[in-house]
Amino acid sequence: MQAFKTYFKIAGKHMFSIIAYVAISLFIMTMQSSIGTDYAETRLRIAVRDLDGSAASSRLVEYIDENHKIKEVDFEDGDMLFDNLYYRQVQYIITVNEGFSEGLAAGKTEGLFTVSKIDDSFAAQLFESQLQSIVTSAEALTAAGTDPESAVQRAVEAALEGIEVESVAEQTPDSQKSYVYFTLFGYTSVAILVVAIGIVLAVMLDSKVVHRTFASSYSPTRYIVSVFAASGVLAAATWLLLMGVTAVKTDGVLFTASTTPKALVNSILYLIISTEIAVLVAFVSKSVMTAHIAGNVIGMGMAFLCGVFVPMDLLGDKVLAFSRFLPAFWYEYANDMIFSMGDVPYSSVKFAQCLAMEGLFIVLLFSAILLVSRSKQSNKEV
Amino acid sequence: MFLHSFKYSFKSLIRNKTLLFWSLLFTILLGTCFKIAFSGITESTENLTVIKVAVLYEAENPPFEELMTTLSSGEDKLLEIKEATGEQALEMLGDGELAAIIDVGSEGKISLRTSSSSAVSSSNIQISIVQNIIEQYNAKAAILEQIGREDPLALPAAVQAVAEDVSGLFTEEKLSDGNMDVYIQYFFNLIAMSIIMSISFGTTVALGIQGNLSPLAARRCISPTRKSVSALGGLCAAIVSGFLISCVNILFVRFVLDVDLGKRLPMYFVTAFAGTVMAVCIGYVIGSAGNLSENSKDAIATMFSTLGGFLSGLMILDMRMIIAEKAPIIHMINPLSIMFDSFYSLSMYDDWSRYIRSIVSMLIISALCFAAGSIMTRRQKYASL
Amino acid sequence: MLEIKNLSWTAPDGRKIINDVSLNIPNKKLIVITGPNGSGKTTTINCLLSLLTYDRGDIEIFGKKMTPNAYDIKKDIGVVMQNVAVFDELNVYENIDYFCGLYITDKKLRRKLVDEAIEFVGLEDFRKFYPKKLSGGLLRRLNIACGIAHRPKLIIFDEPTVAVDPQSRNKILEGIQRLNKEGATIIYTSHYMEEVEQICTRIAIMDKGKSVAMGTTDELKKLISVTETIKIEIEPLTDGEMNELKALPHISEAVCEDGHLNIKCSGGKHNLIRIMDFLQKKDKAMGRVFSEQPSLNDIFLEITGKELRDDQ
Repeated sequence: MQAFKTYFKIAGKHMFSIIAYVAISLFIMTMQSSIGTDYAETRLRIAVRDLDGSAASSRLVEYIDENHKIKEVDFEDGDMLFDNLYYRQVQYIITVNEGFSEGLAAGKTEGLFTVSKIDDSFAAQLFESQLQSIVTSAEALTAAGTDPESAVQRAVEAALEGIEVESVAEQTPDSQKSYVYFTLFGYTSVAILVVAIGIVLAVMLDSKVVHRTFASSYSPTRYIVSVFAASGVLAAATWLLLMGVTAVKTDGVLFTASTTPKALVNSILYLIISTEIAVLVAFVSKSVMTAHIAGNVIGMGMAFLCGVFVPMDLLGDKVLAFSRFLPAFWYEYANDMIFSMGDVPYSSVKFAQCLAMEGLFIVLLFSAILLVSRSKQSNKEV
Repeated sequence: MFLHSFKYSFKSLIRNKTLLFWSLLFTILLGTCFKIAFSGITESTENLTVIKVAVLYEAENPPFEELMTTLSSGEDKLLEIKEATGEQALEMLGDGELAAIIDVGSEGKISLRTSSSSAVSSSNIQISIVQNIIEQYNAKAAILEQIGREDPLALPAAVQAVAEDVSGLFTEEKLSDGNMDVYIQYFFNLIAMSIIMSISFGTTVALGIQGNLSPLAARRCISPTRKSVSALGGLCAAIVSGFLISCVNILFVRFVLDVDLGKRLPMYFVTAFAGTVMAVCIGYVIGSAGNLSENSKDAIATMFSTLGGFLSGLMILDMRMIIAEKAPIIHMINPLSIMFDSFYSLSMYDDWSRYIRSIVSMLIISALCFAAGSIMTRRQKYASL
Repeated sequence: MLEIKNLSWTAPDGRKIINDVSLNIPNKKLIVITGPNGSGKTTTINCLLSLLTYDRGDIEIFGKKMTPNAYDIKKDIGVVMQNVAVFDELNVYENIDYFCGLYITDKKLRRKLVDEAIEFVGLEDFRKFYPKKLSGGLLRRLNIACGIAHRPKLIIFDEPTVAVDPQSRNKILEGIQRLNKEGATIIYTSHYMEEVEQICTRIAIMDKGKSVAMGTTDELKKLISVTETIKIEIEPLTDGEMNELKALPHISEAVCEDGHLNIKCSGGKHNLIRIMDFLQKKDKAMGRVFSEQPSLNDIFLEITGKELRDDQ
């Protein structure tokens, strides 16, 4: 128990640093959860300038406003315009050129719009497809003798006639609230534990302390197990904190949603993995700074490759083939299944498979820790 | 004395294998992860795979059937239509084998059934495409129907207009010659993060002249070499060490990961130098502040760089613009944001004003931090017990 | 050379660590500051070196007031700290060169001094070794070399032989004596009385933050009443015989236990002969006989009332 108790005394001494880092990580997590990503967004933020000023062009602008979000920008300030585009305050800039109405009437559609976009995103392509459809519909009407304004009006009305889209999956909108937090858990748990555990283990694994301890009647195995167990308690406290934050931010949905039990089991397994990663990093790094760097590399690397910051079903096949060798992949895969957020629907067999893979990583990482600790023992300075 | 201090501080820093190793490894590993991840996204969003759908006809609709046939044939087909009964189609939808079921009802009513409600799923892209196809078909059909009713003689011209190629509708205007790939921002932030790691060098220098924190520092304090000379020598050595590491990282990103950083690559090194000076000075002031232990000061430096990176968009790109909009002061003083701005302006703008502004900001922060660190070090009273 | 007057320093928690300490150290002398752990030795040294801002008192070195910015004074001071203070990333030569370079700017001279320092401490075969590869004793020697390479006039050794093997310790002590002979004034702090008695010419005793005595060994011995300690292996004496023994002149204390008779004498000459006569008259069988001058521990015990190595 001595090592176990000492662990927490040391943690207590460094509580300021640990709490500060936890606070920062929680801040990051809550900020991230409030921002969506628009990888597959269909509504764009658009800046529109109407140089034509005709009734037809005005109706078109109204259509854009109804289907997307128009953002006011100063078209005269080129740098600011570009900034808005580059920083994705605006995702698409469109100018309805002078002569739009006349061009439509004459059936000449070449260069009716001038556009600037930051990337050929899906949403941009969809938007252009919608405009093309309206213009061709309006052209058909002007070819039949309708005036441009009426033509655009009718084309827009026709375009706004949507179709019924029914989702057959059992969706529980409330349970989805927790999804983002459980997804971010895949990064936050690693980030917090690597530093928190790293700070304490920097002291507990100091070679002089270890030598003195191993020279005593306290067995090395007992020492390592105590350190590991104490790290586990610290990790459990972190888990409770993160779940508490999730519960609060989702207005208590965590306690009632049907997805919660599976999500909790999944997160507990991943917590063990995160703890083992943190302990392993502490063994190989010699200071808090290097532990932080290592933690960032591992945590962020996995976050980008395994579906935390970039949704998994948007990652390429080759990426996913590589990601399977990372523990976070199986956590996120199971998480997506639990919350019906991925391409793969939930199946208990696949879920069990994910948990089994996480279990395998737990065993592998534990073996790695034992290997590294044995190697350190045999290489220690005299 | 200064050169002597510089020489040995440099040797000591550059031989710190652990820090060196991880500072380089950070960029190498994370940069590689970014490269792999983002190339995958590009493929995923641009090269859409064929969309698998089932079409269930409750009523005949030859024009729609013809459209489906057109879209599902040929080498560049967009759709793959699976033959299935209603129940089979539902089962396939549930198993993820279909993106959607298109129900063609009477009186031209067409609806869609899906199984995913994800807002960030690629299957949503596919559903949106299918939905868009059907809505455009409906719109054009409705228009032609109206024209057919109002003026049947005008119908042929209308049909021709509908079928016209309008690919020249849009004239694209490029607002910059720079690399418009939005994911390059991650690499800007990555390089900025690797530069900000020099904070630890600055902290080391500060701790090395505080007699109460280490016997080595105490030994320095009792020598006739002024603390300012020791500190300056150490800081310069830290700057050179940090700058060399940053240069390696920039070269790695540019030539190994083959990320297009624009035409003004040499200026990236100028930014790296200014950024390193700033990072070292920030580390100096952190190391000089208060009587916290070395580990605590390391932890503060760690938190500073993590938070700065996040607020600069290292993890989520949008965070950067949210901070720029909602907390502009933080954006202006966040060292990582400033470095990002300088890289961005090098890559995107032709004129130098923004770039120079970023460099000046970095130098001002450096000067302030150095002054603060020096004042704090000067005033410290030691307790060696 | 060095004068400390009424030096006081109170720790942030309110404990008076040193209280009105005064020391006068003449030029080219070797003085040992001794005392139990916590007596204020190291704190005094730190105040002396301006590593600590003391509350009260005056410190003058080489006739000038010592301040944190007194660089002209500092250039002639060398310190060997209790904790090894070297760079892990620099080898033996580089470490000594670095610290010497803080004092000596002339490269040629410095090279010569560094080589001499390496030779002085016996690290010729370890020039390219890094500190991690050195044993504890060798590391201590490196620590010393870093402190004395620039040939200072005043050298302060703060418990330099802690955790050092006997061979290295002897070498260190010989080296210190040599430095003193070459003209350096040496201040040496230790609580190992054997080495204190081995090398010192003057001793300052500190206890509970105060300087309780200072002088040569002989001068200090005059301060105490015990001038001679006699130990005799003998068969037990009766109470009557013990009383008679104690009544002999100049016997201040006599204790017989476990087959040993321990007698402390205050003043007088030929105490041993007188005692031997008495015991022979009583027909007592005797074994070995020892007669000793009072030790440092005796001096300390009498002055402070406790052993030199007692914990507070």
